[in-house]
Amino acid sequence: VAKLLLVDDEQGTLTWMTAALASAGHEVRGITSARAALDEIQTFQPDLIITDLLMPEMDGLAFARVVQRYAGVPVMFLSIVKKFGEAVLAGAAGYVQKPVTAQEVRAAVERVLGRGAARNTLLVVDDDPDIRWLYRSFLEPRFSVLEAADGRAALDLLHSESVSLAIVDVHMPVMNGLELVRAMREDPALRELPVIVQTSDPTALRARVWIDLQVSGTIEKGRFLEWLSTQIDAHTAPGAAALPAPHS
Amino acid sequence: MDRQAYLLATLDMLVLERVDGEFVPRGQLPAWCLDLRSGPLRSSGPLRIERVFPFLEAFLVEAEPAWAAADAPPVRSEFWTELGKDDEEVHLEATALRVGKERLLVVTRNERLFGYAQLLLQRARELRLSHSRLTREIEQKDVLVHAIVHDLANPLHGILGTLSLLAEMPQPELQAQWIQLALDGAMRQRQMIREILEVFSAEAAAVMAAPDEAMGSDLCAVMKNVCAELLPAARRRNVRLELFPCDGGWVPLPVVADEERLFRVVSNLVVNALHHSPDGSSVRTSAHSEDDSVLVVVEDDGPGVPPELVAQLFQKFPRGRERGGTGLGLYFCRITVERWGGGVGYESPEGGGARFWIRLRRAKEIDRGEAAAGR
Repeated sequence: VAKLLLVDDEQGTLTWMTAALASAGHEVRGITSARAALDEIQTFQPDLIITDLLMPEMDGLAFARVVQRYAGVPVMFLSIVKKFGEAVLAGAAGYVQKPVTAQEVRAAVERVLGRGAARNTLLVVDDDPDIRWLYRSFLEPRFSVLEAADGRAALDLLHSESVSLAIVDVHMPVMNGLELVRAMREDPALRELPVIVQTSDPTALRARVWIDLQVSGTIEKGRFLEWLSTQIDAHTAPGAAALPAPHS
Repeated sequence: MDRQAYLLATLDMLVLERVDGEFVPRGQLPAWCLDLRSGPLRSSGPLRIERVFPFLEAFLVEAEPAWAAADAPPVRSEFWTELGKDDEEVHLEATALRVGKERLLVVTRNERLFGYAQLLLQRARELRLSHSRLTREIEQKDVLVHAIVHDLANPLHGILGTLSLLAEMPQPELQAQWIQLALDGAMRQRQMIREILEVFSAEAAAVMAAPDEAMGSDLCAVMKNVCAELLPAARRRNVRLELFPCDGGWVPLPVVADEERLFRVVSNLVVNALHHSPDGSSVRTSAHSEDDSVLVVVEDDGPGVPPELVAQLFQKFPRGRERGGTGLGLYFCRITVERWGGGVGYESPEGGGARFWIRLRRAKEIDRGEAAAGR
């Protein structure tokens, strides 16, 4: 039995999902706005928050960043849109794509609850050891970080370890970033794994192939850390400026 | 000297020297000079060249710097056309240059260059048209993907959820069968939606993507392009299309938007305004700087939007205001601009007419990448 907080701007969705999860024995509360949910966390103290992504005023990603920063409660996304990469960086403990049945919601919730407080693992693939070190030191407070110096080494790691997100350079020896992502998309086990491409090659950055390969983002190396911090950190998240004072 | 005169005649060039504001022909006159409909050129004595070629009147002012100093760069005119023998078109171009102390004006006949120039102009027109078609396609796909996500997938979430809950409850056999039937249908629908979104994954990504705060598009350039494209349509309707730059003049103005969609959004508003403009009136497009945003305003002198229709103006398929298109143009403007963190609206100016505005957030810099290079 767990305490679950549901956040969705549609009352109808809240109603049936509350019923579906309560019938599995959980204590469930539904709330229609992310802002109101931030207050509710204090009094209700949920074990897991299940939130929509596209909501007016404050979207699910911004909400999750704030929750991670100030409350440390695991957040699971339930949304129509596929924003797997952004969700992982914002601290998602799980992600389910709408529309789903009552049984599918329950199964996803049990999966996340069973996983406990484990951190997400990120894989940094770059042939420059200094870059890998830099990203590792930036990411480690929030994530477990694995490193690979080329695409081949990355594929081996992906097959042996459970990774939530891969950060991939383009120009690398042995197997380059494009070959790596292609290989991932052809592998049923890695097909859905979110990938973020970072490179200093402007042509590679804008190649249309990344969209076809369903890459979550392509970011220029020079601004990658800045971009990462907007994805991870509640302080710099868009729309987070007018938030209530941090709860201690 | 003879050789020089021969050379000039062969090159079909008319060389004039400027003396005290008048022009004296040098060397042998090319044949076309003698066949001009406006009267043959006299071969000696100073003449007012702007009377022979009225086109040059403005150019002579522009050309002044080329004659002012010994090392000044030459100034070249646009092409213009005179009529020759049997009304044949003669395409001319003038170059003002200084050679030592001599101030020269060289008039060249160049059919080949003229042809290229025409071709380029035509290409530019064609490119603008295909760009416009492309953005129209983007608009349609965006609206489609938006509808699939918000109007088909979202309600289906509720349908699937409630049906699956009902199916779990003990039901009489017949009802259980019906519920299962409905559930199966909803599951098929879900599969279909997922496959469609997979096919349109690029569009879906664009429609769902968070706007890039740092790298934006140049609003100034987009406004100019839109007006250039719509100028012929405005002329056909006898409507003046006026374009006012932002406070700083024609300087790059980075806003959070992608260029193709921004073009479409501004174009939709201007087309709309043209469509409702009475004969002989004007459509005014302007940009106004605000703190961390820019306001684009499009005004017309038409009848305006009746107050009872304003509320649904930016909805899907609005009723009322006569429709020239799909009825999705303003709706597209709203969903697109809102995705960029901006806003869109309408107000009725006091003196009549209509005023549409969009508010765009400023971006740090302009993305000089594919969109810019492609234009």
